[in-house]
Amino acid sequence: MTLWSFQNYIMLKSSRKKRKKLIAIGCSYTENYKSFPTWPTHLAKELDMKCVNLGQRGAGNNYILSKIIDTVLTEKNIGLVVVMWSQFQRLDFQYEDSTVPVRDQWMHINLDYDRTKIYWKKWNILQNDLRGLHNPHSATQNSLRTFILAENFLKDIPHLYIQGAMPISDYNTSTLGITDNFDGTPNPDQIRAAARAAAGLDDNENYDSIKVAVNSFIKSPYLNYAEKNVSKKFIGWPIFHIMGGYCVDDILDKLDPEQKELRISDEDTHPNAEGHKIISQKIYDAYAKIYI
Amino acid sequence: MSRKKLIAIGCSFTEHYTTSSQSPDVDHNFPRWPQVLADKLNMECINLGKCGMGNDYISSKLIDTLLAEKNIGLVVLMWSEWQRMDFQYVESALGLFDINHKWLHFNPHRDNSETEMFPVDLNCRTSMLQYNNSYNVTIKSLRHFLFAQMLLKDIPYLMIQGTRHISVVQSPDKIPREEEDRTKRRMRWQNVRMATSAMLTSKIYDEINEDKFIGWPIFWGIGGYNVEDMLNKLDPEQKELRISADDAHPNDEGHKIIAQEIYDAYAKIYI
Repeated sequence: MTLWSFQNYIMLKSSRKKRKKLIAIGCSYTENYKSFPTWPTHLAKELDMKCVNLGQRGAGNNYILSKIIDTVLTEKNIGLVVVMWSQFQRLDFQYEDSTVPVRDQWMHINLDYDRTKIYWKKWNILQNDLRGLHNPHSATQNSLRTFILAENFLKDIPHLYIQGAMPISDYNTSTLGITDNFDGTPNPDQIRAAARAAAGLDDNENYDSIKVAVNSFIKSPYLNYAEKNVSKKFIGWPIFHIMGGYCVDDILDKLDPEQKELRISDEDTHPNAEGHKIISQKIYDAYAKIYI
Repeated sequence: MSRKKLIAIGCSFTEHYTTSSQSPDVDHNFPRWPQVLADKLNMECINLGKCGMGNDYISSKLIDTLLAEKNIGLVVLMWSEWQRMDFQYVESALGLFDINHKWLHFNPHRDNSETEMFPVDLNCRTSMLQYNNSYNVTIKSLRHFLFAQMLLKDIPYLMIQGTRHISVVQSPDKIPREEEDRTKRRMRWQNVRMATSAMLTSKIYDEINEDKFIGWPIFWGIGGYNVEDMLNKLDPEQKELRISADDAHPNDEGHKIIAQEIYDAYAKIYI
């Protein structure tokens, strides 16, 4: 190595060291697990920051809040935190035993479809039973509280929020329970009954998960605070399409209504390489508007 | 000028309930620690304790309180059992006109499915305990403590652990009493050991303000205590300060002692 290139190497190294960090937290819409870079990588490059991607497949909003706390307590030199919130009805748990096949000692339950049975065979029982408890109303209130807590932790650090996947899966009494046919233990009647009871509906009334969540959102005691303190940094606030908000899925669907260009495939509707570039640009625009 | 408010949030160790299925023949209408403490401090008592609730409820009620209440003199959080899980539901159809926030609690470590609005069967409970394990509930509770501390940084507050933090999972099988006691002791020890280790190695542990957390670090093995430990120290046989042999909730006298402990901590910091 010549003297010239060595000096350049040292300069490059020290400038890299000084680069601020972009911390990205979210679910599978954030984690870098495909063969192409996800939005945090693009955004970090655009902002000349070091990318720290804390996305995790299957994660819910309590995982995300926990990672925000970890970040604030441990990371230095933060340039920007971008939180891409997940589906409201997911539940997150931690585990200590390293022999269990979970990443980063976290386990997730998604009440809309079957994933967790990879680790625990009793998943379907759990899924059905918990739907009444962790109903769209409960999950919506919990997520609003999570937003408030996140804002309190991040208020002195540049940050942005955006809702990734649809906040609440669209299911109603005619479709609810279909996914439970997957391993031959369906009990759609029980699920529908639980969902109706959670919403205070009679036996014959139609249950609409989005309607419950939107009503819960509008009537929430946390909404005023969130409007005043969280919404300015929240891309797409107030999240729900019906209220004039949007999430990442809405952004992509607007450009690609058939879901053929910006999604991985018909079976896997996660954003593809092009989709991630669009998400990154959207976040960059919001960043530029507030912070540049 | 109106009196300042004492806001007390907790579980059955805090709520002023007047009847109990655990001990139906006992008169439960005696002042609880929040009222005794409010009288000592000349504050208006707002008791937000609710039987059966866990720490999710307590944190949520704290946020509600801070968004709604004015003229707060002191907030006291008496934390509940760590394994409890809390949820909400709406009573009116779709919550269109009246969203009355009701709370549900789920204790996966106890088989009380008969009294649950959404009964969870034993298989599901067993499965749920894999998720809601001692490690998970310990770290989750530490986060609750940190949230509360952050939200209350400009308001006088105190925290204390009420009930035993980690409970033993109830065995579904009928086994002899002596053997059950032995098994319970062993399981409790295992759970507490795991929880203590999880707490001590957590990044959040060092962030907790121990001056404002009565009995910190909670576990007796590392020098902490909870309300039950406090009462047991004065009344090891649980004859004087508890409701009855079948109902270990604090009685009238027990609540006075709890109030005095909190008052002493308050006086040390705030008077």
